[in-house]
Amino acid sequence: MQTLISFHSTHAAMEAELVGEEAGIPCRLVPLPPAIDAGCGLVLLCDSDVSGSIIGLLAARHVPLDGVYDGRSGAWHRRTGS
Amino acid sequence: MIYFDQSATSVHKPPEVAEAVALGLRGGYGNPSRGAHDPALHALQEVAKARRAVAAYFGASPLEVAFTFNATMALNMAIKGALTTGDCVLTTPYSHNAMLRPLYEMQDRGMRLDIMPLDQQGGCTLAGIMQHIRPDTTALALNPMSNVTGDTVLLAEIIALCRQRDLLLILDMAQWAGTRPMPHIDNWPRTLIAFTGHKSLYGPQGIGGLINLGQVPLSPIITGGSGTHSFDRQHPGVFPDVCEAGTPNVPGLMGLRAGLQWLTETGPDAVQQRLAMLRGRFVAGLAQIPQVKVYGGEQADAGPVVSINLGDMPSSSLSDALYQKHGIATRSGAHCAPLMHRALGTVQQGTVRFSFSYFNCIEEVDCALEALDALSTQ
Repeated sequence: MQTLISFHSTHAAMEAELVGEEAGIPCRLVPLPPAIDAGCGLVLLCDSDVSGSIIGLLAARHVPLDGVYDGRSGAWHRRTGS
Repeated sequence: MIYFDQSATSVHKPPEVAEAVALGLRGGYGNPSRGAHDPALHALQEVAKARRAVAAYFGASPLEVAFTFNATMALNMAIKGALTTGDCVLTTPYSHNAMLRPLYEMQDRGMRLDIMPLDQQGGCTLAGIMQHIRPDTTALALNPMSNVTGDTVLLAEIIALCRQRDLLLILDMAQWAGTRPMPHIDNWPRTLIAFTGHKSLYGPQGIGGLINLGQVPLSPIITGGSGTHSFDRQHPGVFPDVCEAGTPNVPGLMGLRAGLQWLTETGPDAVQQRLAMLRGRFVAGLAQIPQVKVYGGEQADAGPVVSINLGDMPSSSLSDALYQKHGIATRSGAHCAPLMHRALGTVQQGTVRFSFSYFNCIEEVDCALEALDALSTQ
């Protein structure tokens, strides 16, 4: 299972990737899949089992998210509450 | 050539700055925010690293930093983007035209603008500012270091005052930034800080920015491509995107980051001490030269700027003689600070401004004093 984190701004997306890299959490920016409705064309892709860690870090570093989606291969489901 | 025009721009920069700019040009960087391939992402990462470096220097979070092409552009975005005709703004004679002209533009649209006078010593005191804040004042637009005299305000106290009175604070840090540490503030009021990269942050020209502390709502002043929300008719309102229409200056931002890294490694306190030493030596030497008049700058912690005249000689003639006969670069005239020159009584004569860099040395200061001494006896 993988997780996509979307943002309102590419700058927030890149800051999120830097935060993840610094924490040693494997993640990378990928183009926004068409199934996800977000203004920013980049989303952060990571394994779902580390998504909680990176979401917590982003909150602590004041990096605002748009949404969190779980799934794989084009079938993404918005996480409840995100 | 001896360069004493740091307040206009820094000519001597750490070599790492040019190396970083060159890497930005030859390193295969793409257009940030405009794709997910490596060239675009690498460029976006460089922008993010520059954002982090600026945030660290000013005590902000990275996403509170927007990049512009200079402080003038940032001040236009702050003043026209945050203020409305319902605002009442107080400013001081220290303000540069980069602040004043956008304020005047808003005044012409109906916004109220108050300009406090300098005190009898030519300074801008906390008490004076407090005296001129009206009950309906909503914002303070402030240059905390005069680009004419080097005089400063008590910035930390003014920040606290704005917090107490819930005033929006618009700061022009073009002169201050890099010449001394930023004050340590735990609880900023709503504040918009404009900075430029090419003066005492030692970056290249063409980069600057606006720092938004307290999520001040901004209307976009320049709209266009953002790389996001492409089907919306309006430019994104989220910060920093609201200030960053179009392609940024990636090589310039890489140079700015290198300048900030040099500044951090050198130490803002060490930089301030060196600048104070150079300024102090110069001012002490000026006191021995006949006909020299020094304007303001009597504070012990004045910034690295000294404005003078020699008798009745037009400032343009003195500045030209310094350069043509002695190879000393200064700036004459009004320095884009009309209110300050009116307050000093130098509208006609102007002043000759000497402004110092960390890379200046005592020998250069002494050369300037010898040159002025020679010119004073001609």
